[in-house]
Amino acid sequence: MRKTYQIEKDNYEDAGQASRDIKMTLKTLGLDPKVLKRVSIACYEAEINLVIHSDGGVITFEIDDEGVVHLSFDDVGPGIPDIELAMTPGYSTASKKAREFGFGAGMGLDNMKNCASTFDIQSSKEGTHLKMSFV
Amino acid sequence: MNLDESKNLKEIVSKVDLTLINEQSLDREVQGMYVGDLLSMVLGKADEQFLWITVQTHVNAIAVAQMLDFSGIIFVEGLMPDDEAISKVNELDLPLFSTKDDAYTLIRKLTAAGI
Repeated sequence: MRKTYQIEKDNYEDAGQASRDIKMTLKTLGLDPKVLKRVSIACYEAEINLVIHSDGGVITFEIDDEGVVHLSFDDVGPGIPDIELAMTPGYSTASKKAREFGFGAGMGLDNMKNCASTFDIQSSKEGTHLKMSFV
Repeated sequence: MNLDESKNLKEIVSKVDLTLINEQSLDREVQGMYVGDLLSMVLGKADEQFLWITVQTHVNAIAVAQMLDFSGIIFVEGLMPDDEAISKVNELDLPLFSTKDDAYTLIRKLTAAGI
């Protein structure tokens, strides 16, 4: 099964809808609740990052024949200048608006890494590409 | 953090002065409680069937509660969610409460009640 979702920049109102849909789909498929929780947290964090930090992008969700969940987040920029710094817990470049909503703790990428079985992030000015899998 | 033993939400609510904001069943288990307003911290530390104490009343807080399958949210300092958040939550199975107390006072009351 494979699904894709378009995510708009700064659309806080609908932020989380793709993650909710993915969660409901996996719940219906009977995924182990412990894995489901890890997917839900990582997916929501990454979706919120697209809304807060990117110029928009696409989420691709896939569950393979072995039941492994794959999530990809591909945006169109502006890229992360220093990924190592962005991965540091507590470091955030979130806007004032995002912080007012309770985002910008600087823990998003760290949370994702802790939840995912595999985690790969590549970034340039043309866009950031994040891939995670969950076993 | 996790409670020593899971409690019924109805039992918790009966011990402290909380206003139920939406019509939802209180017959559900609470495994733990978490206090916090930074959403990533909540996502990283809280767990399923938790009761969450916060000042975050907007729609994104509701989304976090749903991602983790919380048993409910208590808004402190007399805060109420906006209409957008309420309309979103009405589609979900999630009870929302409000209290005039600040978080510290509420936690003292819960502790005094043995929770």
